[in-house]
Amino acid sequence: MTSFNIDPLIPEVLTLCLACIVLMIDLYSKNREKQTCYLVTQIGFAVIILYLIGNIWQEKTITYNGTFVVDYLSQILKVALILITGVSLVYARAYIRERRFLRGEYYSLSVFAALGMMIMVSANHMLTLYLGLELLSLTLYAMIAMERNSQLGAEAAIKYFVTGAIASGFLLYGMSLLYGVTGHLQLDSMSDVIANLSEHSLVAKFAVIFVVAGIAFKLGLVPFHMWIPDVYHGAPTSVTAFVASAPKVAGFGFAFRFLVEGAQPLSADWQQLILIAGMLSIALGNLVAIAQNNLKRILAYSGIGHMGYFILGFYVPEAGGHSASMFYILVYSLMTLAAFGLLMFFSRIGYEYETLEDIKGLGRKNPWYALMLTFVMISMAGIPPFVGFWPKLEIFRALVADGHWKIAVYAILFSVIGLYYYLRVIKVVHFDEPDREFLFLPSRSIRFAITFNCLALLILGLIPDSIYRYCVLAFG
Amino acid sequence: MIQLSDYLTVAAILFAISVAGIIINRKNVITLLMCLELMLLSVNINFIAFSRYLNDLQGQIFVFFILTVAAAEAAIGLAILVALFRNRTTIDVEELNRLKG
Repeated sequence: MTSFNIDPLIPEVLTLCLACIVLMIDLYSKNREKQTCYLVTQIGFAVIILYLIGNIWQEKTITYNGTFVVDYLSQILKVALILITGVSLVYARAYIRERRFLRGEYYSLSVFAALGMMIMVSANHMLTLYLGLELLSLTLYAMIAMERNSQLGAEAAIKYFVTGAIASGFLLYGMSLLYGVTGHLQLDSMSDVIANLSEHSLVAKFAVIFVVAGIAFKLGLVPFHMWIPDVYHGAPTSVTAFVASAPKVAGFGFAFRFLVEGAQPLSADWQQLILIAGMLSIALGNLVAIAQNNLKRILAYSGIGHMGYFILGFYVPEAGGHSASMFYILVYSLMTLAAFGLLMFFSRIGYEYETLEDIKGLGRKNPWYALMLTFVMISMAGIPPFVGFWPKLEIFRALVADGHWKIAVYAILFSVIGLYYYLRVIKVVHFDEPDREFLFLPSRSIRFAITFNCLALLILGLIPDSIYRYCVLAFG
Repeated sequence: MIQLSDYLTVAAILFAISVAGIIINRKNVITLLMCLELMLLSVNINFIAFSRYLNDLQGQIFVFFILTVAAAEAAIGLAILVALFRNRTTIDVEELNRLKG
């Protein structure tokens, strides 16, 4: 019997301890602000990130009876996940203070969600994948319903709950069939068996359809996108910022572990499904966003479009599609955090600016934050020198390099159409006459965080290699 | 003698019923929750049948985890339902239409 080695699991164990400590502090802290909870959460995140960075070079090792895998990819994704969660809490703090949420619970739920996502990205077994996914989903259901007197919040929560549970059901049904066909729950052995499958290969293909449907539900790809706009709109903005960023990165890890490492021999089948879902998402996301007036809904539909571009990377793995996808998802979460961070900043109670009319003429009154909003919109549209341009370029390059130039032209076409609604926001902000005074959340930390986040979009755009290098190394 | 395929057929039928229930049901959110439970239970039948057929315990272990998660999910679902009812005094699916555009 070999000795039990806990090293690969230390980041997860630390996160779990952190979540429990935050819960306990919440229980005993008299302070209604729960400052201590917040501080402990952020310090804990910093410690975990430092630990992960210190141990970032990991040879691919599969441990704990094949349930858990640690490699360079998982370490990078974990750093990104915790960073995103931490930043979203910096934004959330002032927002949830104004709205009198249950603050201690908010912080501990965020930490639990981070734990679920970390498990998802380093799972090597269907059970670990499923448990990580559910840990994430269950905390998100609760967080969306946290604004207890909001009618929209409760409606968004029930919609997210039902669609999320259907997605889990589909995923599980696919998993059960794959288990029956291969006799394995461990992803790498499953892949080996599928490769040599003579009979029952039809059942395996059938199962993969269910799995792809489940993943598409979670990522919000057309035709399983209907929940995205309603949830983004109805949820409290601080939760929307979180739901729109970190779980997408975890979704990338999930899709990679399951589809590429677990079902690689069936790639000819699932790649077709993903191609269709991706192309439909690009079209629908960019077209429907034009008709929207609410900023949260615009960002939701633009998110559907972005997911479409992102998933196309899985279609061209030989041309570096996976690293392009990873680059895309990391940059997308950075941009979406900045966008929803700004919306949070614009939502002081009584002065909530959510629709395009509300932010009319922002540039005349508050040029700096209007400039920041412009940065985010240009970056999302994918115009250089902002960082949003590079992952799109990388996806198109991978598509063309693999000979799919027709798909690349199609994607570029819709990217140009998408430019319209991003530029419309900029036009409304800078060229329309203001008809009101603007008052924002009175918090210095959120102001600094937003400025920093938006300027990062420009600076990282000038040195795109700073992120992309790691994405290439992760698959090298 | 009951074959593996019989169990799989039952599971597939239950799964189909639950999906149909979610799509057709336009009245009550509680019915939706019941359909979601049914969906997970049909998966459990699949897992247990395969586990027995393959003579491998992993499938049955998986079922324990699914049952536990399903219980947690039902608790959260009902909690959200209570919050919804308190705010809207209805749990009619048709009337959940404030979010659109």
